[in-house]
Amino acid sequence: MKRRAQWRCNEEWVTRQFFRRLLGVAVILSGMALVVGWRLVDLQIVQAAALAKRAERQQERMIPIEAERGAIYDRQGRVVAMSSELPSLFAVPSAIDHPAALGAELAAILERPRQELVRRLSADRPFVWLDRQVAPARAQAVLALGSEGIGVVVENRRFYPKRALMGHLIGFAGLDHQGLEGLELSYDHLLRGERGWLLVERDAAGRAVFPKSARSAQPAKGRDLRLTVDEVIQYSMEQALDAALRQTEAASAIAVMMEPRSGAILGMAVRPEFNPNQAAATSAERWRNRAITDLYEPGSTIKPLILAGALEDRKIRLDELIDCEQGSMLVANRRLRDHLPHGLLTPPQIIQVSSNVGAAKIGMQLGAPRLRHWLTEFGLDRPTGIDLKGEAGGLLRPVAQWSGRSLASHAIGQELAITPMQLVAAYAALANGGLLVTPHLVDAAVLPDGTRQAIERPAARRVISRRTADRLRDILVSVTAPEGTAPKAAIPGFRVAGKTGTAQKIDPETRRYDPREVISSFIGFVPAESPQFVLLVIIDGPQGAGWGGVVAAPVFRQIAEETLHYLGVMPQAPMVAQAAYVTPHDVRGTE
Amino acid sequence: MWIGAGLAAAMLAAVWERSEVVSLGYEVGELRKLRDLELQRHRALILESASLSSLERVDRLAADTLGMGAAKPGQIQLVPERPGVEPASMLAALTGGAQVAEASFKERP
Repeated sequence: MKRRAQWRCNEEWVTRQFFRRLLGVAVILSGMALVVGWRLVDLQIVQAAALAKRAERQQERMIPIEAERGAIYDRQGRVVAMSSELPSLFAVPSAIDHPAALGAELAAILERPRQELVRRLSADRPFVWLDRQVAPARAQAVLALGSEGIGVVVENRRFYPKRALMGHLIGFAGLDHQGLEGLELSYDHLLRGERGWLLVERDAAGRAVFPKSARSAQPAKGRDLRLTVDEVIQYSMEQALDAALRQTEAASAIAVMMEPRSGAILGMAVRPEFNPNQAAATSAERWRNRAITDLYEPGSTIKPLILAGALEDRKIRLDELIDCEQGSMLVANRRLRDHLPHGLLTPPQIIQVSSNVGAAKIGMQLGAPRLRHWLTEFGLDRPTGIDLKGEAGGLLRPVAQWSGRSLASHAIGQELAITPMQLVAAYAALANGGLLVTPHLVDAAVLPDGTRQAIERPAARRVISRRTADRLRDILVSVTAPEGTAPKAAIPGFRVAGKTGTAQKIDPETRRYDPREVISSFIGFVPAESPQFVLLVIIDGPQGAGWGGVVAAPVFRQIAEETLHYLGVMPQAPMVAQAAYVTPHDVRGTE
Repeated sequence: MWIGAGLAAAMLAAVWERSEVVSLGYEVGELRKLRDLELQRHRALILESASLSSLERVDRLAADTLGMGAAKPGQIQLVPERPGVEPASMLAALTGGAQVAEASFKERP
C-alpha cells in the first residue's frame, strides 16, 4: 500500500516535470517564433522599402547609353565629321604569367615597341592601357591570343575623313565628345544629343540578364549638320593658297567665299593648315580661324565703301574732278603719297588706280562723323554674327579719339582694323544691291528621322541704295580692266568687279609701319551683273613685290575661275584668246 | 491532393516562365550587340568611303599614278552652242582639226 502510494507520487512528479519542461520548451519556441515573427515584420514591413532598394542596387545595373554625336556634311551631303567606335586594349598585369613572351606577341600585332609593352605588362598596377582606339582587326588578333589578363573596351572617337580640309571651320570635339573648337563648339548643343540609360538585372557573374524595358531611356542622337560649304570649292581655295604660299614665301594666307544674297559661306580657307584628327598634337595657335579672329588694316579695299557713303550722302558726283596733286598731299604735317603721280581724276578713276590722295579727299568731303557712320553701317565696328564662336569685332575708334590725320588715314584703310569676314560681308552689300546679310556656315540641322530644321538668321539690313550699289559695281569692274590695278584678276568671258589692297604692317618694336612687311589682298565678285560669290584673298607677308594686284589677284582669279566652272556658270561676254597677262606698268604701288 | 497538384503545376509554370524570360533576355542582349556591331560597321564604311574619296587623295593618285595634271591655259576650249548642230559632231570636229570640223558639222533635219 505504501509502495503503491509512493509510485503514484512519483508518477505525478514525473508528469508535473514533463509538463513543466514542455511549457518551458513551448515558451522558448514561442519566444523564438516571436523573435522570428518580429524580424519578419521588421524586414517585410518596417524596412521593406529600404531593403527593396538595396536589393535593386545589388541585382540591377544601370547602363548609360552614350548618344551618338551628329555628323557634319558639306553642301552636297559629303561626310566631313562623324563619330565611330573603336576598341581599346587594356591589361591586368597581375593576371599575366609571362609578360616577356606576351609582350613580344603583342608587339608584332600592334606594331609597337616590345620593350614598352613588356614594361606595361610587368607594371605593379591593377590596370594598364596597351593601345587605345586601335583597328578592329588588330583588337581581334590580340583577343585571339587567349590571354586572360587582356581585355577590350569600346571607345567612341570623332573622325574627320577629309583630314585638314575645312579643319579651321569644323574645329574638333574632345574625348568626352564635347565640342571644343569651330562648328563642333558653336553647334555642340545640337550635335551632342541626349544620353540615355538602360536598367538590367545582373546574374551571379555580373552579366546583364534582362533589360527592364519599362525602366529605360533611349539616347537621343545628336542632330546632323548640313553646311553651306562645298568640299570641291574649299579644296580649290586651299590648293590655291598653298601654291601662293610656296610661290611668295608668305607667312599665312586666308580666303573666304560667300554667296552675296544669302550670306552662305561657300568656302573659308586658312593657312597654315590644321588637321582636326591631330588636334592634341597641334599648338592652339594653329587651331585659330584667322578669318574671323584676326584683325588687320584693310588698306585700299576700304575705298569703295567710303565712296559708297559719299554717294549716298550726295557729297560727291561721279563726274566730279578731284585734284590728286600729282600723288602727294600734306595731311597734318605728314605727307600722304601715291606711288604714281595723278592729276585730275573722277571718283571712279580714283578707285580704278587706287589713288590715296583722291580717296583721302573723298573722305574729307564726307567728313569724319559721316565717314565713321558709313563704316559702322557696313558693320565694320562689330562682329558679323557668323555662326562661329570667338569672332572679333572691328577696331574702329570714336571720332573724338581721331588725330588730325585720322580722317585721311581711315579713308585709305589705315588706323582701323577689321576681320576678313567683316570685309566680305561689307562687299556682299555692294554685290547684292545694298543689303548687309549675316554670314553663316550651317544651312540646316537634320533630325534623326531626316527632317530638315532650318536655322533662323537675322533679316538682311539695307545699307545703301540699289542705285549706289550698281554704280559701285561698275566702278569696281574697271579695276580689273587693263588700266586698273588688278588686271590679273580678270577672267575671260566674265565681268569681274573687285579691289586690291596692300596694307603695311606695324612693326611691334618701332610701332611704326614697316614698309617691308605687307598684307596683300584682293576682294571681288563675279559675274558682276549677277554675282555668284564674293571672294576675298589675303596673303600675309609675301616676300618680294607684295602688291595685292600682283600677289592676291592671280589667286583670286584661279579660285574664281575654277568655282565658276564647278558651279556651271557660263561666260557672258565673248571669249577672247587667253594670253598671259603682263603686269601693267601703272599697277605697282598705286594700291 | 488535387489542390496540391494544381499548386505544383502553377509553381512549375511560374518557374518555366521565369526561365524563358531569362533566356529571351540573353537573346535580346545578343541581338542588341549584333545590331550595334552592324551599325558600327556601317559608320566605319561611310568614314572609309569619305576618306578614300577625299579630293586630296584623288588628286595625288591622279598625278602620281596616272600622270594627270591641271589643264594649262589654252588647253580648255569652250565650244559655243550652234543651233542645229549635234554636240557629237562638234566634239569630232574639235578632235579632228578646224577644217575637218567645219566640214563634218551635220545639219539636223
